[in-house]
Amino acid sequence: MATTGASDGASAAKKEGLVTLMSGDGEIFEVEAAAVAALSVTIRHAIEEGFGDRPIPLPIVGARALALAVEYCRKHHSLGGGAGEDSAAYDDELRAFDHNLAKVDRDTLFDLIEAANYLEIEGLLNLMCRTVAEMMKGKSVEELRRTFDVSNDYTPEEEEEVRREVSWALD
Amino acid sequence: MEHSKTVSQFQQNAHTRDHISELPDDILNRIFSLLTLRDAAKAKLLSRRWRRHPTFVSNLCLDPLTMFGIQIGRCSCLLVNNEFKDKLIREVNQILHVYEALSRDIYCFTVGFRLGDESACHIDSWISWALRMRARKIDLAPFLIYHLIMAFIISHVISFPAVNHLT
Repeated sequence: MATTGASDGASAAKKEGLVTLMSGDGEIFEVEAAAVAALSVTIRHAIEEGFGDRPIPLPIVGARALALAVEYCRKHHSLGGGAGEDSAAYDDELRAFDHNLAKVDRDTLFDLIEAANYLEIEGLLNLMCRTVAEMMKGKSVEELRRTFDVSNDYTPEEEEEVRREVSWALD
Repeated sequence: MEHSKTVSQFQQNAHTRDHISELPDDILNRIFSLLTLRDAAKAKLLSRRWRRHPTFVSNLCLDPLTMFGIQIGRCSCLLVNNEFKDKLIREVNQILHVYEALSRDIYCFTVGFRLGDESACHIDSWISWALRMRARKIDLAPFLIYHLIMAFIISHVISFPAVNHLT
């Protein structure tokens, strides 16, 4: 489980420029409001609606996904949209960060998709969907089954029917 | 600050839950939109949930990228060699057949293969298909102007008012 720096949301939020988030499993995260509000539509709206001085509840986002989502927001907020001579280096660093984030284990990957969808962090959602698509590319049906643990609920007759339908894609 | 674990701490063991089938439709749509038609079609064999998922795209683009994952420039359309051609035509016909059975309109129909004059009858039948599917935009850039003129004549004489863009 991720540990948090703040345990008392109400007092923590009084600090200048910080906002307090509460994960679905009750962990408190104290983060820079500007970073998360810039990347997450959901949190931006919550702050606009006056949640700024009390913890914003994020019921369906678990603590570990929230920790990663916050890390994503912070990184992209500090390095994204950079101009001037440093922007190329910042782009490289962001790419490396995204590349590294996409290597999370499969459970975390799907937790992050759910979190990014709920928090409306478009870039993170795209990154994770691209990661899943990459995992699917060029795989046989059996390999897909093993990769994602999808069990086959077709009757033999149904499966044969679908197999005929997509036979062009199978060799 | 100590409130977040680093990414590497989460790069660990795999589990056995079927997360992907639990994704909402719009997320699955996003993932599908990043796949080739071939990979998206294969995924239908996974389970009933996947079969139900509409892999139908209203912008049907049959080009090397969507069919085979081969990335080439827009202008240098793939010239398909003979041994590959028959298989390709069969596959395209199969896709079009499946789409027609779904009886939904498509918006844009693009073919990004060059097949040569001897395959003219197939190209004609694909254009007819696109007209039956009420495609509003047909893009057959690599093919001869003759087919495009014929398509326009067909679309107007047989009154398919849907087509408004032909390239």
